Amino acid sequence: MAASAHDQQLPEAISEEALARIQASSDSASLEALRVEYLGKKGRLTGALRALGSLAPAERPAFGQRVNRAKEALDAALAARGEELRLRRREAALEASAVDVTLPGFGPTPGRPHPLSRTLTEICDVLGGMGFTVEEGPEVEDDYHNFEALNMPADHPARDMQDTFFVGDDRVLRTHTSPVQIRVMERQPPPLRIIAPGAVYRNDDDATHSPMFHQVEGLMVDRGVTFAHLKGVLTTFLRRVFEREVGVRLRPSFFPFTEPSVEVDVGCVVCGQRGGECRVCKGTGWLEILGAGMVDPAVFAHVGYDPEEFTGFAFGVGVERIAMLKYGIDDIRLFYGGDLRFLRQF
Amino acid sequence: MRVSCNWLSQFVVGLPAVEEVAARLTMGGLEVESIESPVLQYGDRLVLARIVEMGPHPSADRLSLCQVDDGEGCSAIVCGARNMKAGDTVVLARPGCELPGGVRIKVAKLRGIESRGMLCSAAELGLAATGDGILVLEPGLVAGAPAAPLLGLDDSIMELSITPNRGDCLSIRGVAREVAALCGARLAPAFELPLPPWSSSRDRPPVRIDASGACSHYRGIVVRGVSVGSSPTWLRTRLAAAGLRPISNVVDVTNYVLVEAGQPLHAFDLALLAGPELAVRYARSGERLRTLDDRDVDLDCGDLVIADANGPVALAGVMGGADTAVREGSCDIFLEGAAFTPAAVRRTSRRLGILTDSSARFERGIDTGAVEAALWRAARLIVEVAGGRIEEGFCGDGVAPAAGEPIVLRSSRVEKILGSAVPPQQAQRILTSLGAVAAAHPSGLEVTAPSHRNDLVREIDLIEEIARVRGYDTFGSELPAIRMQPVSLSACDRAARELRASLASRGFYEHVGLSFASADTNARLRGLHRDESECVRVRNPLRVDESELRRSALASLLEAYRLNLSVGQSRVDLFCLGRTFSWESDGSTDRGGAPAAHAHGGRAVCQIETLAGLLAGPRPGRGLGRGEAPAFGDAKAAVEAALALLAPYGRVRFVPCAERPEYHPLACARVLAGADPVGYLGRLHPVMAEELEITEEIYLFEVDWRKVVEYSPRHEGLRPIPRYPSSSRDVSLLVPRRLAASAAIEVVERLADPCIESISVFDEYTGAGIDEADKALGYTIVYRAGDRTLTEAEVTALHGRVVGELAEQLRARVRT
Ligand SMILES: [Zn+2]
Repeated sequence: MAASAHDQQLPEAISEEALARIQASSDSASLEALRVEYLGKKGRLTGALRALGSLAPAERPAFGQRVNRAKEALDAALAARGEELRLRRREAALEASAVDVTLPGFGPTPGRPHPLSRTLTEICDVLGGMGFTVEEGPEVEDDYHNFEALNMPADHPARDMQDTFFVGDDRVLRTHTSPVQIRVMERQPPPLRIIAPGAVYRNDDDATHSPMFHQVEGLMVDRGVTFAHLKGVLTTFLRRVFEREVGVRLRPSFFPFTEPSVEVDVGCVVCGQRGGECRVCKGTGWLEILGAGMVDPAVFAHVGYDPEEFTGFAFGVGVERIAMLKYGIDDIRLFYGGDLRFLRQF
Repeated sequence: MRVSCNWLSQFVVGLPAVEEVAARLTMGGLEVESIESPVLQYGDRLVLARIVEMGPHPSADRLSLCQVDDGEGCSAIVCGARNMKAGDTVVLARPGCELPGGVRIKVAKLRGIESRGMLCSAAELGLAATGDGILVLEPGLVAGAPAAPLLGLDDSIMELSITPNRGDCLSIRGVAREVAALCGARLAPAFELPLPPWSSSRDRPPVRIDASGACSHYRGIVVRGVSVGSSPTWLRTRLAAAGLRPISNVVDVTNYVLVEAGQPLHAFDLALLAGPELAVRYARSGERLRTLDDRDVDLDCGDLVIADANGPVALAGVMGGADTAVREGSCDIFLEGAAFTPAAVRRTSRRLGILTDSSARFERGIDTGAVEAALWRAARLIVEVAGGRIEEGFCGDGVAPAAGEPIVLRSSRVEKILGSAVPPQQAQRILTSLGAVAAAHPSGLEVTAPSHRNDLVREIDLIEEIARVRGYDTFGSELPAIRMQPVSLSACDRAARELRASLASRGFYEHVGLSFASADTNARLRGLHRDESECVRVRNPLRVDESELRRSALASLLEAYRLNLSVGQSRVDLFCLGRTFSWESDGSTDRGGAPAAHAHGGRAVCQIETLAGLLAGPRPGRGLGRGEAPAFGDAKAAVEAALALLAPYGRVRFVPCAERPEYHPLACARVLAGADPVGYLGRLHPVMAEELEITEEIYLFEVDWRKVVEYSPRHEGLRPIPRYPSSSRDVSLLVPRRLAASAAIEVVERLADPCIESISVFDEYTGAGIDEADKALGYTIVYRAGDRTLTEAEVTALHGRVVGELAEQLRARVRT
């Protein structure tokens, strides 16, 4: 027994056993218990030091060193194991709080504004950036503003171009946004740079015509506004809206309230102006996109502007037309059905 | 307007290829919508031939054998038809000729006899849809001549879209003028015929104009001894190219000249006109006329007519009468050419709904200087195709209007409009090419417009012509140097964007509905308009269910909801921004800043900018899986969030509202912006849901959002950040189930104690432990003083007083 007791007292033996138990410990509490058991005041290694007294003085220093080395080794092992366990705990906590980030977020998936609103906003932003401000007018218009002040007196053949809805003796659903020009000029003097977006109505209904559709009217009036400015502004506008360097060409046309009048075509954005079998441009490579012109002096006369002093240009662009081209929509009626399978795509 | 290139080439010397002509016309303002070009080139493989001899095929009863002279000699042709005879002129397809439909003619042996070609039927040439029998042409044609030009088989037809200002281009001659000017080609002289003198022969009707405001001049010419029959091939071909149906040689000539010169003409049977004279006058009430298309029309005193002694014989410029028209057997004819005013013709044409080739041209204005030339041309052609002789001279009344005052075209003005100078010589050349007379003038040019261009009356009209003919692409393009003005997005434009963004972020899709509604829908959904206001009826709706303008935007949302349900969509959250309409009940314009009412005589229309929404289908829950049906709170949250953007410093409130027929009486709120009612929000009334066959619980809202923008108060200025801590206390009140939670808040607000900072609801509870007629409401009240920390005792005392007030004023019991 004495021999074994002596063996137990050997610091290396104690240390070896302790190191094994430290490695096997699985939590901080048992680690602490081991520290107390071996290194505490009554610990076994501490006890071994106490046995120093029973040794020959010559052996004492060497034995003391052996105990101290064992203590240091245990300290280091306790610290390392402690650190290891802490990291493992942290790891486990993270693991326990894992989430699947690909699951949908709480709350509704966002909806979308209508493709027409989106297009209208783009149009207004491009023109807004060029200094045009938004104006508006009534959708139920009087004959004077919708026709007469725009140089279309009663019996003017141009009235036939616009299949008009009538709602009263003197009231129509506006056939274009052009009456807003008149309303703005009636109440404010030049210079003017305005746009007027809104719904307009024509008694017409097929895959490319709806009885209600949307236009943006534009008007710029000042001293020295010329045809060249009309070309410059509209070319810039169309290239911004279609987000590419589309070809732009101006053809003579007729509107009672502008002269010279212009039909503006853009290079077909569907076939890239190759024409051929393209159904959208019917092989011509060009798409009619807006009507424009220099404001007719007769219109200025109606609102009391001096046509000798001021000149200006006006234009009107169909929002549906642009949206259909931009998004490849071939039936105008899709815009108005509220079908979510359509609306989700924008 | 259909334009034959063969016809055009008669007037344009060296007419360019059709593609070039079309491109020039389009870029010159006469848009060519389509071109029909011949597919096959016939050349001398398709010729006119004369049947020299015709007999039966020796070995086939059903076939005949013809000896045919094709100009180069006789050849034998075997033929299945028998409608022709020796001496007839027919169309021979020689071997090698390809016919429409892919048939290629070969030398063929038919029952032992070699046939060197084929005699063609109209159907085989693509001139008719059906028909047996070969095409027999009139005598007098030269055998061996190519058949394609005579039959128009080599012709290209352009379809032109003519703008309303260019009545002069509703004729071949007018288009030819444009082609010449735009292509730089020479215009062939039109009708180099010396016009006949005036005559006052007594055996033809003198003419009197009694309505000089509606007819500047009227001319007639008599052709005697015509034989009415069918027209020769060339004439029929030309009319077919123009899209007109042949009728008889005399009528065909009038149509021919109408298309060629743009001058409508009418042929009367002279024997059927009752003397002693014709009058151009307004109809008398009670007069009637049977028109050429066999309609009996009742005339009114605004209709311009031609009348003989018995009454009206033609609707001036619109259509002739049936009783006096040229017919088979007519011998002497009276040919009319006149200049009726656009307004006169338009009125009658619109009133009676009779649109003709004649009325279309008069409405846009004819060439008043060329009436006699056209009449003379027609008389000569009638003699050519129908025989007879022209009685010397015109009769008639009135004179052609004098040319308009010369227009001064200032070079400075040209530059001011177009942005770059146009040399006067160039301007002069352009205007001259259009038929105008342009002379030098100190400030530019002095221009007299030709009589066929009644649209050129002002300086600006000439400037457009110069720009158009020179080409819009020859002018520069630049961005304007602007006078800077402060530009800001209008409040409403910005607000609309914010509404869209807010609702979209809450899962709503935007819907755009048409502004129309049925009367039935408008009766059901009264929208935000005054109840007593009248619906706006459309007088000429496209469809019965679109006979009014919508009062409410909810109908189109409900419709979209049903559509989506039917295609398997479950959650349907939609909103829309658009106007709704009703007549102002008192003609006033009190709809605030809305652009609504614009008095310009008569009543005003109230046009409300409406935000409307619909919620249906399962809400997404927390986590996965389908959530529950929408609740009032879902709809309210969406509206609150949207309106908070419009009035960030204002207060939007919701008060119970039981009187709207479309909403559940106990699940509907009136929305108030400040003190103003601006809309409604609630559950679709179960009764209406049943009527509409909607089984789900759905929520709707409709708000006059412009009113919210108008109300939106400014920021009041910063309140200091509190320096002392607050204390909060909760209280739970047992109240009757129908008491509004806001009642307690109002009580506390009325106390106006400076130490009460806020009160808010944190719980509503019904169920176990509470009487069925009651509910429990939990509130948190926050106490704070601005100048010190409230002591526990102070807060307790204050809270005790607040709870006491609540208990007393609301007859509530305090739950402990
Ligand atoms: Zn294309």
